[in-house]
Amino acid sequence: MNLFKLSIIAVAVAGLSACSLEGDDGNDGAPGVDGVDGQNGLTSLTVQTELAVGDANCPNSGVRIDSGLDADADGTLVDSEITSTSYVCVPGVNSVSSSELLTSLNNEWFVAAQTEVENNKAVWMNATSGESAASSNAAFTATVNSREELDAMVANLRGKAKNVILFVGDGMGVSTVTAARILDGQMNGLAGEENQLSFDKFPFSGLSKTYNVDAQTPDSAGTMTAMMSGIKTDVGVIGVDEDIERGDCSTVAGNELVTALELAEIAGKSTGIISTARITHATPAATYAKSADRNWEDISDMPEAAVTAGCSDIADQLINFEANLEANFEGLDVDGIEVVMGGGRRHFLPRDEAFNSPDAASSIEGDRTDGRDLTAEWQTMYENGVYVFDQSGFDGLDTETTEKVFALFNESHMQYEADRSNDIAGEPSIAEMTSAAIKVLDNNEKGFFLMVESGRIDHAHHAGNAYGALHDTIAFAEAVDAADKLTDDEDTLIIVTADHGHVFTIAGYPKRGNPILGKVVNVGSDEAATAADGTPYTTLGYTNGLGFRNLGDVTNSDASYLAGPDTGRKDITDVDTTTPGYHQEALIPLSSETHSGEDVGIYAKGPGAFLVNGTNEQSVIFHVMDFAGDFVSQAESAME
Amino acid sequence: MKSHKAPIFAFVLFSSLSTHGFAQDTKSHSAIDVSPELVCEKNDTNLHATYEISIKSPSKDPKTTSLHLWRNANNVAHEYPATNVTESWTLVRDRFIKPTRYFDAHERAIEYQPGETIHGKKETDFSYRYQLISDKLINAMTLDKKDGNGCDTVEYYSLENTQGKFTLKWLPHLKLVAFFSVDKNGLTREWTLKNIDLNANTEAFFSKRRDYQSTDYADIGDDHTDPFLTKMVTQGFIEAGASGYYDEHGHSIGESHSH
Repeated sequence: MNLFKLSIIAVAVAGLSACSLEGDDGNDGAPGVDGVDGQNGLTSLTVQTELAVGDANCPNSGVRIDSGLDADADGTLVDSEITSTSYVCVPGVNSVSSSELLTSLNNEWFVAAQTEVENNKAVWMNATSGESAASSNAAFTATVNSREELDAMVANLRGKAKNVILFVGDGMGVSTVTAARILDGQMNGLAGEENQLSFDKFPFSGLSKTYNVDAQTPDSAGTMTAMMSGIKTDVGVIGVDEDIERGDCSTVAGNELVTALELAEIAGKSTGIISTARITHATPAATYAKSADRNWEDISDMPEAAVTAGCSDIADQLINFEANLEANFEGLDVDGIEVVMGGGRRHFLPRDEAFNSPDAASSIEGDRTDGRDLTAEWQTMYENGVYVFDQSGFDGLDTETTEKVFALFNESHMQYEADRSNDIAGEPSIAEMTSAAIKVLDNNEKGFFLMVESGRIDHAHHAGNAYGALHDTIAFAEAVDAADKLTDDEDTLIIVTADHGHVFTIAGYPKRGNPILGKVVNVGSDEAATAADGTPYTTLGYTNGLGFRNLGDVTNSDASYLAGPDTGRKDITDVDTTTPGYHQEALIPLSSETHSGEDVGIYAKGPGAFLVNGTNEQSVIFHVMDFAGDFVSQAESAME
Repeated sequence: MKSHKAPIFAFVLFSSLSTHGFAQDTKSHSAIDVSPELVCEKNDTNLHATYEISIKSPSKDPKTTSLHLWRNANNVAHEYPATNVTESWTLVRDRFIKPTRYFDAHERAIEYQPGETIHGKKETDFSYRYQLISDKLINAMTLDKKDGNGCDTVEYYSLENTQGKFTLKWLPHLKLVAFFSVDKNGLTREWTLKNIDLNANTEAFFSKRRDYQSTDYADIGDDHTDPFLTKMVTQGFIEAGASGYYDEHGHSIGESHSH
């Protein structure tokens, strides 16, 4: 926030005056005698010397002017006769005419960049104007003359977002965004590098520092808790602060955090969560659950001591979200989460074949050891809600009349985008889920909060498979685009970010348009470049993980887990590295590729988006959403 | 872990399934020391068969290990006592195959989603796991001889191609390999059915493993603090476990590049 200081400048002018006393004038005297003629004087000479560029006195060229008396009367001015020297220098070039800059001015990159600068200026002015919805579209310029006016303007900016959508690409570091952008462009016939994913076009962006309180390189649980609650915490824990001890149920009480989704729910907005991972997985769980361990997805995953001590599994917390929230705030009456879509049926069904879904993939689909069928409990709780488990059910949703949707499309995670056609009963894409969710949620005139996670970017990277990660990133970008098209910039804040990055690199010096999944071909060459070992190498690679796999047309990124690590250099001369089943080389052998600790991008548009700039703690994302949606104040008002 | 009472085994012994090729074996299905009636009472969907696997090489000492084949309805498992690993596959809707790998020593399981792939080849042929040899390979072999009738039928097949010389003694009623060998360049691998239990409590076998702590293998990367998952890095996998079921490249014998 800018602070405006006012100052008063006073100018004093002093006037001075003088005074004197004067007498009368006398008479004129007689003329005097003429004097003797004098000798001829010396000739005065002036010499001008052209100075070239680079002269010590006139770097930009000029003229040196020497003058003096011609003492020896030889008609020339020698050094000993020079009594004065001055310079008239050509000034330095500090402006260039348009004609002299045609090469630049007519260059398309130059033109595009100038246009972008102008657009950015306009966007910034508009977004910070305090007028309209403070979005990137309205044109308005404001001037403040006092602190009070400034406070008023800021107050006017708060709460302009009726709707807030948070998109999280799990593991979608900057290199992943870049590579996906290029791949998307190349699949559309472009060179690729110039392409823009949907959120590349957003007007505001910044960086997010992802570390957890106890970890330099973070995990999804700690990072998503920071984004959803505004408070950084430890690795591996959900919705609780750093005073927690992971795995110790007794340390949960008193350390629970309130999330943006909960605040929106309390404020009367509709709420929704979507994930292509299990809906009980760390990222979606951090929107609604409080757990000492991210792995407590159902009761069978919990130690007996935790169950006895009264901790609830994550699936149970999702089903009983409404009751739990009301229990935490006296007198509160909310209506629960409207849209839940993802995978993870196993955590909601009892370990009993009789409860298998029609498209069960296992002999016994459910994992729960307490005999509870949470899908049935949800349907009892929300009689007007619709439970969906396959594409057919999804396609049958009436988004204008449906009050609540609970969709679990898979026993575990949903399919990789590249593998989606392999699903038993079919699954919607993340873009299809996002569109359907918004159409249900926007039936509430108070607005909505929606979190959408692309969970399998992370999984494909862990398996060392760039193809899978990039295709899921492209699908994620399509979901963002779908959301953007269905909402209004005037009242909807969209934030796109990642929870953390991966040790995924774009390296070498491949020429423009070189297939991003291919081998490096240097500028000016048509042959693959070779390393010092005489063999080619790919542009994309991993620092660690399982390393090289050549599984050809296998679209499942996890296939590599079925063999031990095979790191280091391989001769890929005859390998097609652009196939779905190719797994990039890695340096350090690990059971799976790891997260990385560098910053990730934040991309934003809509009311409050201008707050996304610079390098931020990841927890700032909550505060941007809270500012734009005014969640805390609205929730407090709703509880009064 | 749940405990289960030991079942009363009805043991069917194959007495003459030696490690030599069936071409020299003049015995027929009478090799089974049990009445054909008992075999006929049972079907192929519930059994426990034990195989001895031997690998003989001119340049190395012979190796012998064992493999237990377990079937329970649409589930089949290959248990490798030498490595304490059991691999299991469930046939879903006669179309999808869901693999699960059980690390018996740790009572842990790694689950894979159906339609996913193993060893770079998509699991699409359940017969290959169910019988240890696929229908596709059997159909490609030449039926050289047939003994017995009905439930007592024994079939003898052979095949020679670039992968080597194959011989098979096949029990069609039980869809079971009695003997299978692959010989290539002096390297001989043999699977010999040592015994079969048609009344085995196979449900208990599978149920016990379903109680293991399970991890979806997509989640392995999420938690580097789990000692078991970390250990998997160095523990090696089934193809490195000298089970003999896969070649040195991890390809299933006789099935390379055929899926």
